This record gives sequence, C-alpha cells and structure tokens, in this order.
Amino acid sequence: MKVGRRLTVGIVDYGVGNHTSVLRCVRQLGFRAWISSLPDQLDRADVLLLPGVGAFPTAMERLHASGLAVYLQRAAQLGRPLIGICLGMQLLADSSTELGYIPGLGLIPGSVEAIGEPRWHIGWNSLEVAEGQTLLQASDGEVMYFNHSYSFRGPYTFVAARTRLREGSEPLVAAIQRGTVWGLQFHPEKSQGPGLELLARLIHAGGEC
Amino acid sequence: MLRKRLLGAVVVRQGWAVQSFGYRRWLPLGKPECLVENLDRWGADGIVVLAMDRGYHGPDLQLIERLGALGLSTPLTYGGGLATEEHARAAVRAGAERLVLDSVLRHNPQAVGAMASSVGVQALVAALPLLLGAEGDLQHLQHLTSDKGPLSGPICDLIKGEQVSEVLVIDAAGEGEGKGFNSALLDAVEVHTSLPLLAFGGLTKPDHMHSLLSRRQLAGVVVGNALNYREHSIGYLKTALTDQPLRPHYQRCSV
Repeated sequence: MKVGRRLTVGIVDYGVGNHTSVLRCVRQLGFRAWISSLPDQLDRADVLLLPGVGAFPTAMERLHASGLAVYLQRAAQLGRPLIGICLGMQLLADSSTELGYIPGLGLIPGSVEAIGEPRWHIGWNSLEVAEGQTLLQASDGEVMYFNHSYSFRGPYTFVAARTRLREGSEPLVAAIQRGTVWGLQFHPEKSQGPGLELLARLIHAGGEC
Repeated sequence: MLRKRLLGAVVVRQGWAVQSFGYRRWLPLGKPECLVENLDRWGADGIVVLAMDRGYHGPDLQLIERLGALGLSTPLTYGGGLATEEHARAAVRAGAERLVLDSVLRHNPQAVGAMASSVGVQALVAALPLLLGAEGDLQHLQHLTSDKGPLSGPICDLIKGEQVSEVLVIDAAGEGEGKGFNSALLDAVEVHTSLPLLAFGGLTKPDHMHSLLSRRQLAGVVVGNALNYREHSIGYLKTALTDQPLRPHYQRCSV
C-alpha cells in the first residue's frame, strides 16, 4: 500500500467523450487525479481510469492513433490497476461487433455485442454481484446508472456482476475483472452515493496492488 | 430490474432558469446552476436542462460546461439548439450525457442519423411538444413560432425506426398549469412507436404520476416547476410513490 500520500488516478484522455465529470468525481472522493494522453504523465498514477462514451470503432481508432492502445496493453501486462467505465469497459474486450467487427484491447476475454431486444439499457438497475467478488460484495443489490446498447459477453470467470432488464430475464454483464483490470458497464460517477462508494473501493484496492 | 425514473427539469431562457407557463409566459427563478445542484443533492434520477430559446444557434456549451463543473453525480440531459452532428459531439464533450432533440426533428430529421453515429443512439431523446386538436387529433407544436400541425411523416419514421432511444412527450397545453399530464397524448404516441416514453408537463403531485408510472411503455416522469418550491421535493414525491417501480430514494448527506 502507498503510505503517507494520497492515491493518484490518471484519467486516460483519448479524445472521446467528457472526462471532466469523472475527474471531479474522483477528486471529490479525495484522490489526486489528472486527465492526460501522455504516457509519462499517466505513468505517475497509481490507478488508470479509462472512461468513454460513443461508438466502439471511433474509440479504438483514437486509442491506436494516440499510441494509448499499446500503452494500456503494456500497463495491464505489468499489473497496473486499470478501471474501464462504460465504453471504457467494452474497450477492454477482445472485440466488438458495433458497426462491424473491430478488435478491442484484448485485456479481458470476451466480445461486445448488441443487447438485442430491447435495443438499449438506459436508466437505473440493480447489481447482482458474483460469488467470491469480495470487493464488490458491499454493492450487491445497489442500483446504478446504465446507458448502453452493446454489452460484454464472455467467460463466466471474468464476470464480476450482472444485471437484468426484467425479473427473470437473461442477465447482462455489469462488471468484469481480470487481475488488476476492472470494467464497469454502468457509470459509477453518475450513480450518486452507491456508485461513488464502489468506485472509491476499487481505486483503494488498486492502490494497494 | 430496470427502474422507472423521476427526472427533474430545469427550463432555461436567456441564460436564466425560468418557470414556464405553456411556452407563453416565463417567471425567472435564478441561476440554472443552483437549481441543478439542488436536484443533484436531492437525488433526482436524472436532470434535464432545456434551453428553450436556442433555436439554431447551437447548444449553450458554456452552460453545459458550468453545469459539468459542479461535479454532478446525476446523469445530465441537455436540450436546446442541437441541429448538427458537430453540435451533438460538442454538447457531449462539454458534459451532457444525453441530448434532447426538438427543432432539428422538424426541420432536418436527416441530421439525426449522423448525430447517432457520432454520440450513439442511446444518447438521443426526441422531444415532442404535443396538443390534442378538437377532433382528438395529435398536433405537434413548434414552440418558437407557436405553429402547430400533425406529426410529420419523417418524425413518425424516425421514432418508429428507433433512430432515437426515448421520446420525451410534452403536454404543451398542460405545461406550467400543474393540473396533471394528459395521458391521451401517450396513447396517441404509442401508436407510432414502441420506444420508451418520458412524460413532461403539468406534473406536480404524486397523484398525477401514479397512473402514468403504471404504464408499461413509460420509462419515467419529468417534473419541472413543482420541484423548485419545496426543499427535498424529490424525496417527498418518491416517498409518496413507493408502490411504483422507481429507484429507491437516495439523498446526498450534507457534510
């Protein structure tokens, strides 16, 4: 654990979406944080945060063009804590079928596919935390804010939490984890107290790596 | 299970939050930031900011940025002046989660596809200010000019083809009146689309919302003026609507 100083969070800026709300949220939680697209600045952070809204192909294109795709893949190989949020979570997967087949960062095995019917998952929904996910356990049953039309599909091993559109319906993946890499399909920064608490726990845990 | 939403609306005109009465009269309420901050603190399920007078002047990016700078932990939806893909991208980049489209639906519905490919269909909400005519026919109001007419073919195609992800149905006659929402408008819109609907206009009391929230296709109710005259109004409404599938009330503690 980093003793004697505040944990630091580097928010990866690849030119897609708005990162200011995430920055303010992380700072309100008491962490030092900054937004950057520069590897040497991101290297100084204890935890990397990969937000994102919009379309998967555009986001991957930006990550490749900026060199950040390779940077994030190396960071994950080195065991650096990385948290992807919403589209940022989907980018962690092997691939997506959004607007055609596009390879992702390949950090967590799985693919990103259209939700189906209904086409979107918009609003507040409760988490079903998977067994053994001690870090998320306190958020089991908590209601988070989702806004997406594509969803992660992959091995059960990497699924940390799920959610359902209707009672008894097939679950959608709400959170994934592989080692120090986490993905959250919901927006913790827009999920008021329950989301902020969960995000704070993940950052603290990352800082202890 | 996906919960229904109780969203707070802030109507903005000439940079000021206003209480709107049927798009005809406006009573200044103060800075939009103050009202939005309250809604965030009181635990609204979302905040909808509607800049009514933007027309084709583009989104009020400074306003969105000021709201983003508040560090809201509630999803922010913005409407006003959104006419192009570039406007949509800029509004999202400034801090809006979702975008309400109004005039562009009427004057350039083709632009909606480009917006969707840029920010995602899930970010787009179609606003339809509606009235019922003397024969019970649906009339689409252009609030900037007060013109009205039937829902156009391209708009019907757009909501039927799900080029947006939700429809904000505005009771234009009831807006600002506080007498409840005319559910016949929802009946009429449901004929055209299976998209989730949001109801806005005239909603002040729990009784007004109760039967609406029981409707299968309704994803949420949007409350404007009524929220500004009572501290912690979201909590009051949610407590009175506990039998509805709303998100449990959450209120940020003041430290």
